[in-house]
Amino acid sequence: MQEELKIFINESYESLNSLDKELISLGKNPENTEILSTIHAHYQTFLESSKFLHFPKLESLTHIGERLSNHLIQSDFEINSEVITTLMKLNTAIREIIFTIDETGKEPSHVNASIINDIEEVIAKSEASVTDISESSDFLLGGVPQGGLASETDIMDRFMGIAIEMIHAREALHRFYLKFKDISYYQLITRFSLLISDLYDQVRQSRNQTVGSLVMNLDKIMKDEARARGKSVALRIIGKDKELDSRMMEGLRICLIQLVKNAVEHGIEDPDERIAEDKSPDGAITVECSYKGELFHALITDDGRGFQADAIRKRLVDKGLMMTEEVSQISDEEIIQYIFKDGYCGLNESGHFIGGKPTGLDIVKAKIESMGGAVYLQSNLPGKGCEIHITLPMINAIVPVISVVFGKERYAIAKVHLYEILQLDSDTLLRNVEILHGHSVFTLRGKKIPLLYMKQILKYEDPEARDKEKNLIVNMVILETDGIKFGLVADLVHDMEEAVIRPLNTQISGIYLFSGVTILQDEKPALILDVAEIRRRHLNNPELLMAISEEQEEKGIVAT
Amino acid sequence: MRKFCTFTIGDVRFGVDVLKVLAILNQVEIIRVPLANRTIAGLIQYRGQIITVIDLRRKFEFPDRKNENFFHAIVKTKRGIISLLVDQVDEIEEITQNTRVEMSKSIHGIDSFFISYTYRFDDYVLLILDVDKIVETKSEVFT
Repeated sequence: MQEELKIFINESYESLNSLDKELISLGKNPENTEILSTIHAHYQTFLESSKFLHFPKLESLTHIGERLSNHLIQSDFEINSEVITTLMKLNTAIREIIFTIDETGKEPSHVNASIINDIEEVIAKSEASVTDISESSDFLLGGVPQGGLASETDIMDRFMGIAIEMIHAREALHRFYLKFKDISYYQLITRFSLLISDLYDQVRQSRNQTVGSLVMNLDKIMKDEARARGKSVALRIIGKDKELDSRMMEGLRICLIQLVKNAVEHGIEDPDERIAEDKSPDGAITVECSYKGELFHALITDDGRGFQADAIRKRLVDKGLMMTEEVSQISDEEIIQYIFKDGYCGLNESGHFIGGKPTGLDIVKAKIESMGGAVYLQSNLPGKGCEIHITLPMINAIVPVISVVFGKERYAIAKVHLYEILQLDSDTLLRNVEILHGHSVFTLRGKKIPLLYMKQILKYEDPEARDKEKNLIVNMVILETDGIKFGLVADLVHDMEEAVIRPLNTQISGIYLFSGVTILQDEKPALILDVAEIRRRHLNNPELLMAISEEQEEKGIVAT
Repeated sequence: MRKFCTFTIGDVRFGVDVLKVLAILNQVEIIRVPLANRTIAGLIQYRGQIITVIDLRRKFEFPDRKNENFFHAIVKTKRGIISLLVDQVDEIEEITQNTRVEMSKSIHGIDSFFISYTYRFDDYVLLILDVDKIVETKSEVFT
């Protein structure tokens, strides 16, 4: 219990800080329903935990916040400065209670209840639909009082920046040593680099949160949801020790809550139905977190009814999002991705919000993409459940990378994806390449491996390409992702090195080719290729994939 | 009195509040970003950070520069540090007199969205850039 309380308090401070930030941005963009949904989700989480830990005073405060934000989502009441100020006051009141709990382990004996009345008033006003636009425009342009902890986060950000620079300095020092190989420096340099590594790990850990911190919250919400619907569901979380930047973990939490609720509500069938289908009456949802090279990976699976492609088509048409002719041209594999489309979730047929609020799977997609990640539905077996994958960049993690050169450009690839590096002359390459289902396929030791060329994925012709035709040596990296191997043809391949992963700059975060950026040994930036996404975009022909996998299986049998 | 770091693009003079300018650099290797919006010249490393380079010529729809002579103005915006590519960097301008005017819809073909206000002098107009607006418009990505 002590441990749980500690986690709860830390999470509360974090979520109050992000609430403050969200409120400020809401003050600037009162029309943005996405911010409002995030705010609502924060209050919801708060409410659930305070119920769970039996803090009645905190519960009454968070409940009123949850009610107001829910109300604002559902009505078109103008969000003016009064609403924001009231919510800010509410946060201060919540912060005070948390502070007392932190100090004494108990709630304060007396709580100023006037804030509840204030909010009741705002709700009453919005119900009367009295809108006051005049005040809202210039609000919050001046200084906003910041919570004490916000500055602490800033300090941690600065620490992180310095730590990253130290890592670069360490690498430079190491190269210096390799150049002169003066043994008298060796011990000193080794000691220095170990110290820097330790310091870096400590700074990083203090900014990270483990998946375990989500367990209590997620389990509680899932159980409540299942109970309310008369279903029996077990939630299993694998990889509790995996870490993620605390801000990303907060985002992931919001998405997981949404996905788990969605799975309980729509995916898992009623017990009777499950028995009739020869399944165990208890549904199972699994959240499995792991690291895949430069990416944090969360896999959410359930054993419910899965998504029906035709039902999705019908819904898209019914909601006026697409035309009948349009949806019929899209394959089943592709159409299921449309569950993340804007406006797909939310209102049901009778015009009511599903689950009481308009946050749907589109919010999950928006949230994950805003953090530089990706979400997709991978295998979907109707009647057997579905698998949803979320990938997020592991910012500030140190990951081994290789780099590939194309013309004057250089790109990094996380080493986990690397299967083999090949160097061959262009004649051998030509002799072993054939076209299969529209793709170039290379035969390597009797195995068929599809090929991608740098110029093809970068959509860029190297201006010096003509001269290079005389150059007879071709470099190729064989990469592996989702169990599929493919070759990437480049001009040169550079050795492995350790690199600090950074998120993509916001101005380029939507480009699917890249999962992050890093600074390589020569202190120049390099974009990191998103191998999994490149494979999904460029090698997705089912016939081709089938041909290759059959090939690989056959060989497998021969080998054993 | 306010101080502005001034620079030119084509024959138009721009100013940015000196407090927002962190450095002026040239000869930094720019890493191109494939599939990015054409106003994004690429990425550079600045003091251990990786920052986006925005070509103001392209942002303001000027013809592309014909030579490789340009400067990076490293500026602070509300969305982090970015580099702005400019043709030439001029002196710091101290402005004491009150010649400030709001900008009309466009001047020299530049959208007033990016300009906070202007100062009119006898022989030229100084356009004060709103660097936050430069990063505000979302990049169009070709997929």
